[in-house]
Amino acid sequence: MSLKIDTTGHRIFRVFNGLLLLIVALTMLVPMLSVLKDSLDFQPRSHLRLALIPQEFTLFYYRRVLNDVSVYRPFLNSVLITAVGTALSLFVNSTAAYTMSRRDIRGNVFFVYFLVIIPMVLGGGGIIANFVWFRALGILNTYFVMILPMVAMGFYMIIIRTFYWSIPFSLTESAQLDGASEFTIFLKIIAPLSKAVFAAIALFAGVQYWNNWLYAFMFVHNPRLYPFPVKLRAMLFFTQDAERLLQEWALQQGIDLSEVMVTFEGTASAVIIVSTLPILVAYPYLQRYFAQGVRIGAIKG
Amino acid sequence: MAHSDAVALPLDVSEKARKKGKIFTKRSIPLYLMILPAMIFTIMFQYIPLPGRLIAFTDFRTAGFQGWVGLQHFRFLFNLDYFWNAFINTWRIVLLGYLFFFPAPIIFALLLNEIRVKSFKKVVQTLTVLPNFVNWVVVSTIFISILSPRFGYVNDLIRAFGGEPIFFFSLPRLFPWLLTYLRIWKGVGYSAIIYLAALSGVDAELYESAVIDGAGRIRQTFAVTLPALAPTILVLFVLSFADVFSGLFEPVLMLQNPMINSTAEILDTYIYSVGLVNRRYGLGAAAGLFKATISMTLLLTVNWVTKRFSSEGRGIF
Repeated sequence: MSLKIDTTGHRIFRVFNGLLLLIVALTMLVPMLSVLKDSLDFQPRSHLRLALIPQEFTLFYYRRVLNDVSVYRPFLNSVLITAVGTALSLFVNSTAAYTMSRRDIRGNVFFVYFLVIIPMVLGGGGIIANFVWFRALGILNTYFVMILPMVAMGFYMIIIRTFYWSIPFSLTESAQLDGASEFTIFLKIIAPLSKAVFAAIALFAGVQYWNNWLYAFMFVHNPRLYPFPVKLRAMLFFTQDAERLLQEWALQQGIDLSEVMVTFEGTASAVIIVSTLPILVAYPYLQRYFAQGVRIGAIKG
Repeated sequence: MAHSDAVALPLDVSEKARKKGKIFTKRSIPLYLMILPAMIFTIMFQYIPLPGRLIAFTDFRTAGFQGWVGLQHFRFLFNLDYFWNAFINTWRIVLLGYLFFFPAPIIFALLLNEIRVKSFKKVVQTLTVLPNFVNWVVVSTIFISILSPRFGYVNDLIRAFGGEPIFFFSLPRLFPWLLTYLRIWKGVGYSAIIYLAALSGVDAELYESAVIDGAGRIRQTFAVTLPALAPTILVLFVLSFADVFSGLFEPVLMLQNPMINSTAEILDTYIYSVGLVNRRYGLGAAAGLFKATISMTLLLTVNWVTKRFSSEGRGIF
């Protein structure tokens, strides 16, 4: 970005800057790597936590997690919530954003106020009113309460609309002259050109649904419907019982507890890795769309 | 930002005329149908719950509405030290947020922008964005474990240098700082994306002419880079007031424990525990309405100030 003028002062700055950013990156990386290491390591609890390479490599903790039948249902619940929620969110917000982006029809500014600005300023009904309303709707303790309230998002609409504006309007106009309907124009011309922003929004919405703990925590009290984060939080709470059960299971598996130390932290770490895996898999693929897809323009337009 | 500036606005004379005309035309009806799902969802989950704010003025039980009680809940709350404590705790965290959490991605983006080795830049960016996609459940567990006085390696280090282990999550005074640090840890790389995008759009000629004018590195940052970032900073600053309080709910709920509640009980957690756990709906709603009124006033004020002092005379909304 800047010009190449290499004064000594600047060279020193660059070295320090590089070091500083390296340290910042390491403060992100080290905690995550230490979790990964703990999940793969039979290692007595000692003062070796800074070591990031497993001392005694094992997949025991992953076997333990995968053998725990009670993990599967929450995991599948989260997959379901994330899949349905993301698809719905993408559909609702991308179509709404298209209407908002069309300055040639009446009401596009009204829609921005009604769907984005007023909800943002008023902030909805709050915890109590939502609870009463969800109860009246009969969606407490259902999958719906973990999906429907987060579908329409003004912020997403603004990002998508700003992207649509970068597509030349002449494409729409010439399609109109060819007699294409507005639905056809959206599906055949606009949507294929908007893959970048759709990918970014799918990532946002997907992560939001995958990580959603709060709504389930507040509004769902049926263990069969618990999404993974709720289960995860329960599994991460240390109890003597959990450690005892774990050690009994280790004995059954023929593990010599005098040789290695089986710890609760190991299972907790393995479960954390499993819970983050879907995001880690999707992330590099979707990351490259960020720079192209996500820009905020003026809200009112 | 670059996108919206580069937009060719399709608003020629004939379209202006059409705009003044009928609302429902052959063109507009399909478009209105397309926005209908979003309208329905927004009405269902943003507008219909709004009258529920009035629960703050009622006696509301599990069985439903029992009658109006006027300002009784508010009088109760305003006489409650615990409520004011939660109020102050919320503000302390919000203030620390604006001092550190808000500027952090700007500084980070500026520093990253100075890096010339592309691969290093990319690695740093990828690593720092990643924590944003990890659940608060996980983030809180990771840090509770890292900072644990028995097995956490931060305390191992402290011990190695001959210090006494610190019980990080048991010290009330430390909690707001710890939370702010975790928010930065989780969010800095992700928030920096938008600033980096804005920085990549800065015209290189501006730097050239700054150099010709004899501006050094620091002058360049203040004269060229920061002004180029200003619109983005402003938008994000105003928008940040939209969830100035609610963004704290989940992390605080995860991290709070009875030992640190004197600083870790915030308005949202108070509303939750009094309203939903103890089922004093009216009281919870009153605290919620109080909170919502403050955050709405803040947002509108900040937007008004922006409108008043920006050169184009327009706010963010």
